Amino acid sequence: MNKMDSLTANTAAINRLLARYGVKFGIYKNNTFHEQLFPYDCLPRIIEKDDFARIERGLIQRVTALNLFLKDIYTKREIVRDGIIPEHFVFSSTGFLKQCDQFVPNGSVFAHIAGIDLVQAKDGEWYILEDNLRIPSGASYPLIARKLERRASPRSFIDNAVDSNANYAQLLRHCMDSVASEGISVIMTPGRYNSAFFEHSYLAEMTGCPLVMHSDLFVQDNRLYLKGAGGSPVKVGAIYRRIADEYLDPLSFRPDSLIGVPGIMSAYRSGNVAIVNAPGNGVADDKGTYAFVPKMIKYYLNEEPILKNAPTYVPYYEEDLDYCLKNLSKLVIKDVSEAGGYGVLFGKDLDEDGLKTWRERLKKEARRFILQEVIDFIDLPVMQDGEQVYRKADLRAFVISASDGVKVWHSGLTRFSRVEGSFVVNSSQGGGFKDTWVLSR
Amino acid sequence: MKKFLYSLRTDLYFSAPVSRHTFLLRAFPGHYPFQEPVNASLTCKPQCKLAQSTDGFGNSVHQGYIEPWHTGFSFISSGEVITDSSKHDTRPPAPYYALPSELTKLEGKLADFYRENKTEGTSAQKLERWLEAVQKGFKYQKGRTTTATTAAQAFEQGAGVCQDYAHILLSLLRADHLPCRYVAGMLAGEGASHAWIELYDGREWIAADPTHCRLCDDQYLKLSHGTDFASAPIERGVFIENGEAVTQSVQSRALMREI
Amino acid sequence: MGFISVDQKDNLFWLGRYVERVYLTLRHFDELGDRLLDIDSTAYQGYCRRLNIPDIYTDALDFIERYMYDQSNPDSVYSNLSRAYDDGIVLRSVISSASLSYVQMGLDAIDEGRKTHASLLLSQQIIDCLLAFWGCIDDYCDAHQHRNVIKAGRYMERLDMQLRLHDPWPRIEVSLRKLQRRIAGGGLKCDGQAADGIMEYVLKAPEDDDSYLAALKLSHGIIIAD
Repeated sequence: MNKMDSLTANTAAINRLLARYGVKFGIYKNNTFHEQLFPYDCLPRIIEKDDFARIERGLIQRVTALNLFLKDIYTKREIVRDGIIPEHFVFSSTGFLKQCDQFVPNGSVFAHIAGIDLVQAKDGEWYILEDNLRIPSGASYPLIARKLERRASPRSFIDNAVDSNANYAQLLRHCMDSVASEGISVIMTPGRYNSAFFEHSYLAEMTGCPLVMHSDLFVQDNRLYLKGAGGSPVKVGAIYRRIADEYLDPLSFRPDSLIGVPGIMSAYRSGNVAIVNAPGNGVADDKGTYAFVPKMIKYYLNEEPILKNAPTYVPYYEEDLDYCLKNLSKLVIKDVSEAGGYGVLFGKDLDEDGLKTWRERLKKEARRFILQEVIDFIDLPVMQDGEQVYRKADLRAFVISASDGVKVWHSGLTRFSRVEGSFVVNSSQGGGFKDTWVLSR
Repeated sequence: MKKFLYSLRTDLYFSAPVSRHTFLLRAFPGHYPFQEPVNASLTCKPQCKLAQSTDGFGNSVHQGYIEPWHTGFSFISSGEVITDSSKHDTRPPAPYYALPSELTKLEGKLADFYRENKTEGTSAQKLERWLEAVQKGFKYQKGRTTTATTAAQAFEQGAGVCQDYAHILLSLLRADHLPCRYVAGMLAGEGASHAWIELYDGREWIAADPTHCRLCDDQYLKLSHGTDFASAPIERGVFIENGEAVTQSVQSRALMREI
Repeated sequence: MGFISVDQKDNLFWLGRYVERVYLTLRHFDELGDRLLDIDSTAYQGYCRRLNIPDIYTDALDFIERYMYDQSNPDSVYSNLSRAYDDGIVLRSVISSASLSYVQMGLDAIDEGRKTHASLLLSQQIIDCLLAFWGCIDDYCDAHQHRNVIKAGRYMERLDMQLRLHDPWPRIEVSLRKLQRRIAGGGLKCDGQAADGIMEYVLKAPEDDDSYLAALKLSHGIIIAD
């Protein structure tokens, strides 16, 4: 770890630079908006070349299958017909959008930017915890942190052969351009009070795409246009929108959405604009669907899954329910409709009454929850008040699917808990982040 | 087989000027085995280009955009149509048609009603019984419900309009796991648009009108279908206001005359 | 990259105004500080009058503190720089992270200085940030028109402050000329009559309050809203 000394020594300087560049995320406390610095830890997570090569193959395999699943579900639904996934699971998922039915986007890509959350267990095995196929955020943080680390500690980068992560903007831009209809590519933000606004504006700067809001856009003749100050409207060919599906188009989804673009779904379904990521992806990253991803991989690709799921139980199935009722105290319960670390409950934290209540609930609302074995994932070293301590950490890897292929970004967002022993690493719940180094030798 | 002249005209009046008005219309009759539109046209005022696309249910949708400030908006769908209710749509249903939708959840008194009246039988038999049961349990009355009223809410008060009849019937059929959908359209002899349902019986879609407690005949012209009213409305629009809150009133006139 | 939204154009103009307001305020603050310490401990009262901001201060020291740091005082340097930040934050991709970082650093410096009460030392640090900000704008803000819009804001504010603080007319003329050039280059609309009206004062160079006030009023109409 001596190689990291100069990084450790320069942590304060890097943090000052991160503050200076406004590397923040927004958070609402008591209904008021605050910007917070995203706590950064200078010790990177380091992944060996061979280890990452396997992760990379596994992620490409997984995301390829997820894209095939989305295409299938919104067209022929063969996987349902063939009994691999129960129909009920797919079509009563809140992520399945009827407004997207019977439409295949440009290049057959649905999940352009996938944020796949993994953890490494103590035996070194990597497990997938969650697929995020809607609007996963986080890539901007290791991207900017790396830039500063290189300045703070050139030595670390001479001693360690680390794959550059500077290509994220190019990957993103290439992906957008590859699926775009005729027109320019833009990034759409709901506004500066969004928790990830830093990322939206930073990616706009890095990709050279205009950062736009709903009020700059309109749909006419089934085409999406951007209208700026002065000049005539410009046709948009691809929009990387960082707003949720339900707010995307008040004419097709929530009518009360004030941050969407009316009519964009008609333009999209006419093939005149690519929406990145495609609306309706929630059906594939639903926590309930997660349980079936290994089966999907076999079904669509005829391959064995390279990366494992955490052992998952679906109480909808009688035998899984029995197991869960018996073993509830050692399992983790996840509400399939919640995200961001919410709706996660550990059986070990429940007392007898709690366990009893939850057993009843699982019987009654079998579709709403999945249960998983708790993976005792490794702790990573974290600098805290000048001392090295160990904290739980996960890894959000980014997989970019363009029309000409799927690529994994050789970096990722490592999030860690700042509370000893805690498994909750989400930034919205006080977690911090590290850069992720992929070694090239 | 019958032939009709039809026209549906809807006028929206805004209490103050609106701009950047974007709207979707599902007012253009589709081609189905049971109906063949001829010389169909769809226009709007203020005039603007209407661009056609297809929504997730397969409906023909027209999108328009009016940027200048305006205080009214009208659209007229008109043409001729040949109907033949002996023919049916046979395309198999999407699985979600058998699941409850936002406006057709089985709740409260409607759930009790379902339990008290459910029977065994074929799809057609169930449909027939539910049509009768709804006719007995629900009254036609205008002004009691709105477009946002759910099946359960409408049933609770015991009265409503064609939309509520359709929602209630859909809710009951879906409780029996039968795939069925909401249909918006026109009925000869009625001055306004109408709503009914279609049920897939395993082979084909059967159209039934719960308001009139009967299967649909040649007098019906279908405009759109969806899981419920809100999923595929005939008109939906948004606009920006000029400082003051805009209220709108709607007037709609339908005409279907046999020729 | 040339795109800028209607709102962003407005933000850009006001970013220029607020940054310049803070900059000029600090320049005066240095001079005023000397006068407050050595000559007239009530000099801030006239300053407030001229800038047409409420005199809410109890004495010179209170002024120095609250005019610099007070987050609840809408006229404080901190508040004005916060407004610049609010306008700048939505412009990262237009003006660059590098430019924006200097506004952030200025704010961070005030937050830091609030702890040490080193008001008069602090102003130099903030001025450094703002000058670096303008350097970054020239270097990183590629679109000619965008640079003109932000500088139109800058010279609009400068003209405004100079008229309020009764600067010599030749200096006012310089600012007016710069403003006119930036208005044209930024695709904004200039009211020629208002500009001519100010020039008449410049030529006559009157020293009375009323003339400055009349010219100030004219200056407010110089940019015609879209």
